[in-house]
Amino acid sequence: MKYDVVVIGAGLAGFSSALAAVELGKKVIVVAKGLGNLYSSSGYIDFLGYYPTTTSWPVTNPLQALEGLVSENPEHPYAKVGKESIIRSVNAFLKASGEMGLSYAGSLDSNLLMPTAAGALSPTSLYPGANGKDVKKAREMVVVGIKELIDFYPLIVAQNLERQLGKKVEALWVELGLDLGRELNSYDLALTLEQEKNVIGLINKLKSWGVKDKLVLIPAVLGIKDWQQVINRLESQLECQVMEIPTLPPSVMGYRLAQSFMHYLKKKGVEFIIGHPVVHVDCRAGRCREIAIETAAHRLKKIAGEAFCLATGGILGEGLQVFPKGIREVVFNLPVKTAETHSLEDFFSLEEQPLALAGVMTNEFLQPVDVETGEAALTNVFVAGATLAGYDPFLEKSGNGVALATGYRAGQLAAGGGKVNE
Amino acid sequence: MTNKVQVVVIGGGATGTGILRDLALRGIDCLLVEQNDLATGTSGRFHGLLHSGARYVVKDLHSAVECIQENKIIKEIAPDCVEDTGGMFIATKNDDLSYVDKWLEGCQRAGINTQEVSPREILREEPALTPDIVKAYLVPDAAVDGFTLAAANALAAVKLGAQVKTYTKVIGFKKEKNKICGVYLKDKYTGQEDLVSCDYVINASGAWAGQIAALAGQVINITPDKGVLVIFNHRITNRVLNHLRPPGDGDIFVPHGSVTVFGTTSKMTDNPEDNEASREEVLALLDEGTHLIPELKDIRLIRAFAGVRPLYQPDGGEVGREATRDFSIIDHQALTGLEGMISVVGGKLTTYRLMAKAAVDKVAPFLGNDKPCITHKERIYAPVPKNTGKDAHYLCQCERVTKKMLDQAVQNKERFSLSDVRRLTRLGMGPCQGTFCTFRAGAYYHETRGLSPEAANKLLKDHIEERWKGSKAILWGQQAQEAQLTRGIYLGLLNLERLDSDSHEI
Repeated sequence: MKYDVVVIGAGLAGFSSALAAVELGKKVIVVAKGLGNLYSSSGYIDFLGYYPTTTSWPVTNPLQALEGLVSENPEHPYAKVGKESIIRSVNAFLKASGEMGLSYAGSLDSNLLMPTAAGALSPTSLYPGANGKDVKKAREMVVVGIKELIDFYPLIVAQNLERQLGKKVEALWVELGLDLGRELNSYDLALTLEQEKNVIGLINKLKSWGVKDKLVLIPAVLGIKDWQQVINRLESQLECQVMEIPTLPPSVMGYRLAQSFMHYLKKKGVEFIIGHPVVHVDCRAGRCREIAIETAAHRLKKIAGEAFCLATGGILGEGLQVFPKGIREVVFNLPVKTAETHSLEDFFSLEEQPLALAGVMTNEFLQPVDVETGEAALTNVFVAGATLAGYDPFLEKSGNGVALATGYRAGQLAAGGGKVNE
Repeated sequence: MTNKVQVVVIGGGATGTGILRDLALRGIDCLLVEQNDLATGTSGRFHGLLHSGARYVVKDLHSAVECIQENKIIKEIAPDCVEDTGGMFIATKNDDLSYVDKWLEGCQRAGINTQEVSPREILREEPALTPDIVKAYLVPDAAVDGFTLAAANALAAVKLGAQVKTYTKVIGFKKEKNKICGVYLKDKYTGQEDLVSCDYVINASGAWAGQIAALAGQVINITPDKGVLVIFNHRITNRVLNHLRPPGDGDIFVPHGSVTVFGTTSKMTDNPEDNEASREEVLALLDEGTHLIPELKDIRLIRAFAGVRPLYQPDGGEVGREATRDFSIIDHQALTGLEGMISVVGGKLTTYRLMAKAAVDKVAPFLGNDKPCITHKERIYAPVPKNTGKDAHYLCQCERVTKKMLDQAVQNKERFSLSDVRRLTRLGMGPCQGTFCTFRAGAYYHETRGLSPEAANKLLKDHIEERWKGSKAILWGQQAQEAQLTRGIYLGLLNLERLDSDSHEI
């Protein structure tokens, strides 16, 4: 089988590549060995939360800060794709998310401070529309914990928020009376909140506490599919505002984004083969002809393409594999830029972790290049997302932003058949 | 606290807590001081092997005999602290088989039961082993939890009226003429200094014994000897695994809870706090280990650390592996005329009770006490019992730690770190190394203990930093991935690195 664009990887970068290519009318397939880390992510799309990384002051206008970053840090993935590409990816995503029924909101011009499950405030640019509420402006807030959930503790959230916002924040525990005989994670709980009786139970508990006119902060467990309706019901019946807080993996907000995006792409005609790793690549004269994935019973399935997007993730997503002496890119064995040391003294350091900076180096067309010479190693392969070198997503809060922007750009370039610089 | 006791014990490892319990059982009024938490020195930084003695039979028969006797006693009195896994000694086709005969003869002389098993049979039971086995023997080795053992000894002593002061450093001794009559202490949290008067001091501070003795103007020739250990993310074998060859590096694997501890090395160091393992040391250790477990390098490492053996050389004798594993009681009066102090040095965890007995036998007569040692007759209990049944709501899923266990771990404690809790419960010791449970435990204690948010943030962040220390030298393979997951959660999702905390450092 032959495709115009073969996307390897099913995280946000891969989806974004597929979106760009399918928008340009190309025949696209996504192959991935697993479901990707989007499922454990917050579901927020942070573009740039802190710059430079050593500062503790959040970026207020990411677009402005990005201009500085692009000129000061040419090795950063944002610098490779440039400001215009970043803006295009945001517009495309916002439009698509509306069509997916997710209705993301926000813009690159400002960061909204989102409360985290520890009660810190995290700057983010794009978020599910229902979460577009500003905790700085809210008059009265109550953080609600659900006893059955092992991963959310309202009192610490409330007290940390109080310190930062300088206003009173209430904390409340509710018990839904679900006796499943074990602790529940967010996904488990979100499944139970797909059931009418449990939603009613939650509404009644909140009603008896009194949340009218307040901003209710609740862990993101309000259903897997019908969460927007659940939020609407809570808001209308309790006359309050509701905002979900993303939780530790398995993160329901990440799950909703991943599922919706994949279904949307499928509807647009993108094919998917998930669950099988790429085990073989056929590259000749600087171009990749085809890849082979391993399917059941070790059978090889060959997939040929005009161009390829490599979006297999970084170390966490297993696109990069770390060895005691070096790092390997797992699909094409591309040259990887590494650091001499693997780790800093302190975990919570505001310096970038050397291991996080490692990755595949590219030129401005996102083609992988030789670390020494800067020559493109493969001209019809475009690299996106966490596989890229040169940034620490967790420290600067840019993981999903880089994935979206570089993914979209890679998809567009791949749709051109990899003839960008020929 | 009362500022006068009969005996001050310095050091909260197995030996010190063992001495405290022995003193208390003989009705002697005593206080233990420890500069950190219990078992934070060598007692918490070793492979956790309750020796059968088989490792020492060829070179050090006397130690071997002590080991097998104590092995039986500890299994009897401290079942909470021991997992009776049994042990095995494996010789491969690359090993010197003439050693096997010497070893068997030694085991017989020491009174250690050995049972030969065919290579085929042992491979069936322990499929991770190398197929190159030529000889396999079962011995009564076991896994012992050094943290719980020290805590259980201390708890037993406290129930009898003894006192324990952790995070308290000895900063000097009060002498009258040439006799110790008190110990100056400093609280590491508050900085407050204090004097405790006493009739006798027992220095059981292990690798720190030389430093403590120096405060009293005494010289002890301790050669701290560093041993590197690593932890793998599951139980590779069901039994303790020993390489049947002259004791060397990388020849012991001990299953503990949900993980395996593997070690060790032997290298002189001048610093008893030299407890970090380097990448090179770990890689060398792994090379050795593949002789017994061929797939070792594919198994996920979750931690690397080092402990320091307090080897004692009275006359500047052998060092490292050649040094005796025997213990000594140093009578400072006999050596220099200083009265009121002994130092207990050398030895190993398996024989801690024997060392305690010898120390107390030495000191009791000075206090007019002629009661016999009965530490081998009475059971000791873990302060935090394992969760045995009904409660299936785990806060730490790797090591099955419940909220109730967290409550028990901090009972009667004014202040604590999650590391203190970990040592009593195994919270965060499993495959995820605290990635999930640290957040939960920090928030849980914030609420149940009424901590300030600053204190709770610090509690949580300190524990992540502590786990990171053991992980940063081994960031490759799946552990590199796990480290990124932990960063994804604590930095990416929770944004904790920039949330201020302002409680004091200790």
